[in-house]
Parts: sequence; C-alpha cells; structure tokens
Amino acid sequence: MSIIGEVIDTMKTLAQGMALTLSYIPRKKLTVEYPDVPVEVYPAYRGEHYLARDENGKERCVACFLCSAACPADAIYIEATEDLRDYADRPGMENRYAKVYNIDYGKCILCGYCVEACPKDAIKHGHSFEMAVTDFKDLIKDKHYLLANLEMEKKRRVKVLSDQ
Amino acid sequence: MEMVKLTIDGKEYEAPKGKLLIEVCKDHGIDIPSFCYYPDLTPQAACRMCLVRIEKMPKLATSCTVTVADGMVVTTASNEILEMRKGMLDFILGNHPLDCPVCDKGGQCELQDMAFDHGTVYAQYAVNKNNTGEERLSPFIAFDEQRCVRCYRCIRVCEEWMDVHALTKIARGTHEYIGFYGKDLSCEQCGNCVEVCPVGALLSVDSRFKSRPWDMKETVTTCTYCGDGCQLNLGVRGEEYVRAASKDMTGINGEFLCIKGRYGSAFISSPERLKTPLVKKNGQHVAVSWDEALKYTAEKLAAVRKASGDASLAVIGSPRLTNEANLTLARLGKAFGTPHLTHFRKMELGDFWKNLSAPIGTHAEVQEATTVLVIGGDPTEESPLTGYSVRYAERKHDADLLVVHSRPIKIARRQADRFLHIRPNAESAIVQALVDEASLDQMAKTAGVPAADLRAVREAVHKAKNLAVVVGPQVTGAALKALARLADVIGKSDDKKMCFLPMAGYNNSVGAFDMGLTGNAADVREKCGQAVKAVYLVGANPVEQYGDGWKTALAKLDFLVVQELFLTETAQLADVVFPVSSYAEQDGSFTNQAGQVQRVARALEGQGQLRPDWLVVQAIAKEMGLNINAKGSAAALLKDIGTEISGYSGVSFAKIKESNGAFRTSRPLAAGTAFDPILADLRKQTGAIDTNAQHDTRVVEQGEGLFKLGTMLNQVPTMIEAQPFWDAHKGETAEWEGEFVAAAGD
Ligand code: SF4
Ligand code: SF4
Ligand code: SF4
Ligand code: SF4
Ligand code: SF4
Repeated sequence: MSIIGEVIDTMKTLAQGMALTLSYIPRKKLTVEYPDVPVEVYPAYRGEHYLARDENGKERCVACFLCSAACPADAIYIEATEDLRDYADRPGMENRYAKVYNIDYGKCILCGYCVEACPKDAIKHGHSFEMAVTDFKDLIKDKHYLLANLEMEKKRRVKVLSDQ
Repeated sequence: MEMVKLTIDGKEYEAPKGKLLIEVCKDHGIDIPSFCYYPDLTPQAACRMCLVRIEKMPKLATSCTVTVADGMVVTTASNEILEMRKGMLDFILGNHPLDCPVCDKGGQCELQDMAFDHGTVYAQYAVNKNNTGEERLSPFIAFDEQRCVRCYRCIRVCEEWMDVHALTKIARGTHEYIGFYGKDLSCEQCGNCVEVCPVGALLSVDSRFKSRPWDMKETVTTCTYCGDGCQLNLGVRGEEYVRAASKDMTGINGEFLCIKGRYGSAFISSPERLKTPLVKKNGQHVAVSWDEALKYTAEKLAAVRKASGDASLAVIGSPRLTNEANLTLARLGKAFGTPHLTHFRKMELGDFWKNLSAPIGTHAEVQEATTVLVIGGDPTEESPLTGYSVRYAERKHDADLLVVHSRPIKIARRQADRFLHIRPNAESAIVQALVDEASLDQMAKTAGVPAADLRAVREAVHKAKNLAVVVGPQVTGAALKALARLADVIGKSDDKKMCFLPMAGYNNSVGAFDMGLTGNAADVREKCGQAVKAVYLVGANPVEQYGDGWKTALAKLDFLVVQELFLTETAQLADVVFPVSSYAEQDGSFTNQAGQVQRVARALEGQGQLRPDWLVVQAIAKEMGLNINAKGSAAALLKDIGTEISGYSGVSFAKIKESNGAFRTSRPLAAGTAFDPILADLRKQTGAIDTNAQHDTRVVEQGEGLFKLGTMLNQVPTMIEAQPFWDAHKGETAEWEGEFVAAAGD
C-alpha cells in the first residue's frame, strides 16, 4: 500500500474513534463525583449491617446464634444474657437478648447468609459501604454501633434507589 | 434365654421373648420415633409416636408397651403409619410455642428433629397456645411449661432413678402441666429430669443462655467430686465453662449425674482462681515468675533437708489429684528419702486391700446383685451413683436390701428390706456378728438392735447368691479388716458371687493409695515443727476441713509449699503457692472406688499461668537435682503407672479407650492369712463401744452431704446463691417422710 493510502486509512480510524468519544459528551455521566455527590445503590444492596428494633424500640435480636452459625466467615460473635423484667423495662423484645454482638468486617464478606438465617429479622443489611478504617481493630463493630447504624446511614453519602 | 421369631417390615428377626417391640426394632436399626419411651424407665405409652401395625390386632399398637411374641408380623413404615405420625406431631405442636431461637434446647431438641423427620410443613390443627412464662422451680431447675410435650420422662426419672418423687402431673388434656409438691422444687437437684427432657421444658438455670449446643466444645471427662467417678461431658465456649452433661450414655453412669457432677464445675472459670505463683515476702504474698518460685522453693527445701535430715520433709498428696500427679509426688517423696508419703482420706483402704477376700465390684455388678448390704456411709448423700446402683438392684429385681447405719438414712427409710439402726459408732458390732455367730446376741445388745433382726441380716448375707457389700467410712480399724475377710468367713463356692464396693470418699481416693501415698496425712499434724520441718502439700485444705489445729501446726513449719486452685485458708499460710490446672485443664486419669481407671481430659486452656501438678513437682525435683524419672506428658506417666504399679498393668490412654472408658484394675485376694488376730482386735474394738449411747434418731436431711460446700463448690455461684433456698427447706425431710420412718420402725 502506498503512503497516501496509509495516511487516509489512519485518518479514517481516528475520525471513527473521535466520533464515538465525542458522542458521549452530551450524554448522561456515569461517574459519580463522590464524595461530593452521594452514590446511588439498589435497595437489595448488601452494605454494612444494622441491628433492627421493634415498633417500641426494643432490640429485636434474641441472641439465638443462628446468624453466627450460618456465617461462612465466622465473623459474628455473640454472648447471650437474660433480663427477666417485663417488656416495658427490658432492652430486648424477649427475655433473652445479646449482651455482646460483634461483627468483624475484617472477615465479613457481605454474603447475606446471616440476614437469611435470622428468625427475628433482627440483623439486616444496610446500604453503607463506607467501611474503611485506619486501624484493624476498628473493623470490629459492636452492638451499639450496629443498633445505631440505621440512623447513621442517613448521614452517609449513599442514596438508595427506589424499587421501581 | 428363650428366643422368638417375628417379622418386621417383611424381614424375619429373632429376639428374646418378653422384650419390648420398640427395643427389638432399635436393636436392628429400625427407627421408631418416640418421646415417652426411654430405656430403663417403665413404659408409659403417652406420646403415641411409636404406633405400629401388628397383624391380627384391631388397632395400631404402641410398640413401647407391646412385648414381642412368636410369629408376630409387624409393619413400622406404611403410609398409614407415616400419616399417623404426622397427625400425632401436629397434636403435639398444636400448643407448642416454637420459640426455638430463645430455647436452650434448640439444636439438640428431639421435637425439632422429630418435626424434621416425621412432621408436616403446615399445621392442620390449631389450638390456643398456653401463654405461660418460664418459671424458676429452684435455684437449679427452670421450667417452661408451654414447651412440655407430656412425655413424663421427668416424673419417672425422679421416681425411679432418684426415689425423690418431686414431680407430678397437674390438670388434664392440653392444659396438663408438670408440677411439684410444696411451694418450690425441694429435691436433690440432680438435674436428671433436665437431662432426659426431650424438649426445652425443663432447663438448667446455671447454663441458661450461655451457649448453644453447636457453639460449644464438649469433652468427655471424669467428675472431680465423689469416688464414683461418673463420666461427664464438659461443655466449654471459648475459655468459659458452660455446662456439664452426661449425654452419651456410654459411661459407667449412663445418663445419671448428681448435683455436684452436673452443677458443680463452674469453679473452673471462677475469677478467684490463682493465676501466678506466689511467694511470701515480709508476710505478704507477692506474685513472682515460675522460674523464681521454683528456684526459691528448691533452695528452701534443700536447706531444710540439709539442716534437719531427709525425714524432716513431708509430702501430702490428695485424693483430688490425678494418678499422674500423685505418682510424681510419691516419686518426689521417695527421692527425698522421707517416710512421710501421705494424703488425707476418709477410709484406710490399705487395710481393706490387704484383707480383701472378694473382688471389688463395679457399679454394674452392684446393680445385678440379689442381696445388697450397705454398712456405714450414706450412698445417697456421699456417693450418689452407688446409691443409684443400690436402688437399681432393688427396683429392677427386688434385691434384698440390708442397711446398717447409726442414723436413718434415705435408703434405710425408703427402700431397705431390713434396717439395723445401730448406736453411734457401733458398726463394728454388726461386723462381728457377721463373722462370729456365737457373739450375735451380745452384739445385738451392744449395737442396740433387736437380735432377731441382726440374725436375719446375718442369715441373708450368708445365704446370698449374689452379694454386694457397700462399705462406708464409718467401718474402721479391725472391723474394716474383718469385713474385708467376709467372703472367706462365709465360704466360697461356685454358685455364690460376692463383691465389695468401698465408699472411698473422693474422686481419686483409690488412686492416691495405689500411687504410693500410703501414709495418713492426719498423722503429720502432730509432727509439724518437731520431726517434720517442711511440708509439700498439694490439693488439700486441712485448715478449713480438719480444724484450726492444723493452722497452728503448719505455722510451726520452717517451710510450706502449697499447690492449689484457690488461695485457700491453708494456701494463705504457705511460703510458696503454685497455681495449678484444675481437672478440666489437664490430661490424666482418676481411679474410682470400683477400681476403674478413667480419663481426665483437657477441656480448656485455663486462665493465667497454670501448670499441671505433676509438671510442677517434676520441675522442683529438677531444680533440686533429684532424678524422679521425669516424663514429658501425662500419657507417658500413665504408661509408667502401667509398668510400676501392681494391678494397673498395661494401662494407657489407648487401653482406657478400648475398655469403653473404664480400665479395670485388679487386686490380689488375701490368701489364707490367719483370721484370729483380726477377730481378737475386733472383739477389743466392739468391747470399747459405749453401750449407753443413745440412738441417733435425727433423720438424714435431703442434701446434708450433697449440698455441703467445700473448696471447689464454694466457688460455684449457683451453689452459693442456693444457700437461702436450702436453709428454708431444712428440717422438712422428716416431715414429708413421716410415714417412711414409721414403716421402717415396724
Ligand atoms: S454477611 Fe455473610 S460473612 Fe458477613 S456476617 Fe453475615 S453471614 Fe457472615
Ligand atoms: S441477629 Fe437474628 S439470628 Fe442473629 S442472634 Fe440475633 S436473632 Fe439470632
Ligand atoms: S422445645 Fe424444641 S421445638 Fe420447642 S421451642 Fe425448644 S427447641 Fe424449639
Ligand atoms: S432435679 Fe432430680 S430430684 Fe429434682 S425433680 Fe429433677 S430428677 Fe427429681
Ligand atoms: S417436662 Fe420434659 S420430660 Fe417432663 S413431661 Fe414435659 S417434655 Fe417430658
């Protein structure tokens, strides 16, 4: 092929490439300007967990250990205890509740088995993915953190898309 | 045994006549679901899960009550039966709360398993749930009424195994529940009802919510309390003790445990445990490193030995320690060259062994005996498995039960065919009457019992075909020797069987003797400060147990070393205290009073810098430059025991396992040595009985021995919390049992 032919060919491909590139400029952008703009996730997104409360604010978790039994990463550690007081006075929904409930995010693979296993709908996935820490031991989240997580999530830079 | 042929599900089987159909099926691996059937308890036919079709019978039959007969044709798995099981389960689950997530039984629950295997997915039958909460029946037993499936195992266990009769059924139909007599559950608190309860209705308070069955590690080991040596399953979660259970049924005790075995092990996780070696400096205990403490101890012991001679050192072992620990202690004592190789004990087993005329029987052999003589000692309170075995013989084949005691003990009141209520300390008189007929009338007077009764007991003992003699610690001196010769006196013949079961007191009383600590530690007290200048004391608390005399005696010593779990009254006096592993934190073996060597297995690591007793003793010997044939593991020490100690020949961990967990030691029988000198001593002993002494008619209270706190039980929270409960029930036993006492007096 002659030199001229080569030049024309090159120009053609260049034009094709530039055409594609330029065609994206007017379209909607996919990159998110995080952290200035919140990230959008779907409702079923498996983010950092939270521990749920019932309609009266009592802890739903009865410390049955089923989530920790289901966990493939052995990330959940629970200690159960009892509070024999009436519903109104005790912290939990039932007499049995968790004295200690830790999830180690150094181990957790966010698989959702724990959520599946829970008979009380107590452990749920939130939508937060902001789990980076600067110290290993901070990866272990305790009961108070997890109980407050649903509220804290509202302050996070994440936006849950509606189901539709 | 007569055998019959029957057909089950189209296959022919042979089975012993009279056996329950459900048992025959289980023997051949045919699964028949059941709640109320339980091996060893009277059939109940309450749950109706075990229904089968038997040809020529009009309706389905409960296989737990039908005995097999020749030519029987049985169907255990047809559509009809599977549907019936679904229906029965539906009824049972009808008012069941299904609160498995908060139920301690969840994961180990027979109802869960049954519902998985035989149930339907959706209930067809709806009834109101009994909405009742959990109730604490006693400081040890909790009851959640709604979970009860009305199998009555608990009631039967309490009546048949325990002879306590604490539980009963109340109301009828779906409202029926398990209740108790009185205002709360005042019983022996053995927890056997909890053990056999198929669901989470009866629960142990002490392990409430501590773990779940799948979340703890269970280790089979031997109980550290009485001489019976029950096998336990110690459940541990992480480094925390959770519970003791007996679930695998293969040990010498089957599923039986007493309050101490089941609820007495929490001391291993007590925060009071010693964690570092302590050395007394200026009158204060200071925590030091192991190296420093060992060096200091070795120097001090060597100095005392040099200044006052070999015999100035005394070794006090303990019937609580493993065989391995006692062996190393005996070796240390021998290396010192001291004659004081001792331990504290309740019974002079040495005298007993030397005169033994019949073998030591196992609990199983006592259960088979046709005549049982219990003399001295209260099996119910001091040796519960022995008590259970004696009751078993009575219950299963109506054995002739003869009881000799100075107080009305429970088996005497409730089960004895004959009870000789003797004067205090008059056991020897009964022994003399057994071995010397001529003195019978006189001995009856001495002991303060009717001569006719004593004669009847003598006759029953002499004529017995299969005799078990349970010997308590009240039989002492010449009487103990003479009793050991009983088989010679009666005369041996092929159609006669006889065995002894000494109630030796502690978990390793027999082992401590056998390992060579043959001296009596009680004799050391007098010598403290005189012939004895330094004491090496392990696992005993004489100051608390045997009185302040020991406090002054030990204070006179130049040097006192103590190896302990806790800073006991005795340890407080010590110059050096070593923190050691408890039975749950080390490997080793115990020899029970039936002469069986059983495993002690490590269930947890233990908190702090603990070392097993034998390792500490060996370290001291090394520091002192003594060769005591040190070994690196308990297994190696046990091998040494197998070669050095007579009767233990060939013992090893593997052998124990092969022998189903209990390796039987052998003991030579005393052959034909003269009996006359013993008889002469015995006459002297009976001559010294105070014949004016009043009979002690105080009924032995429920729990007098069982609920008594010692060094270890004192560290068990539930036991401490139960004190007011026990105090509130003191004095009630006699009231309840008025009629039993009256009957015994007839
Ligand atoms: S999400 Fe999965 S890995 Fe994480 S705690 Fe739950 S079960 Fe364990
Ligand atoms: S979160 Fe759910 S599964 Fe986990 S212990 Fe609590 S109740 Fe049980
Ligand atoms: S008894 Fe069994 S089935 Fe009933 S709540 Fe407890 S674990 Fe569940
Ligand atoms: S704890 Fe023992 S004695 Fe008490 S009710 Fe249960 S079986 Fe009977
Ligand atoms: S309490 Fe347990 S053992 Fe007793 S009847 Fe109910 S289910 Fe059976």
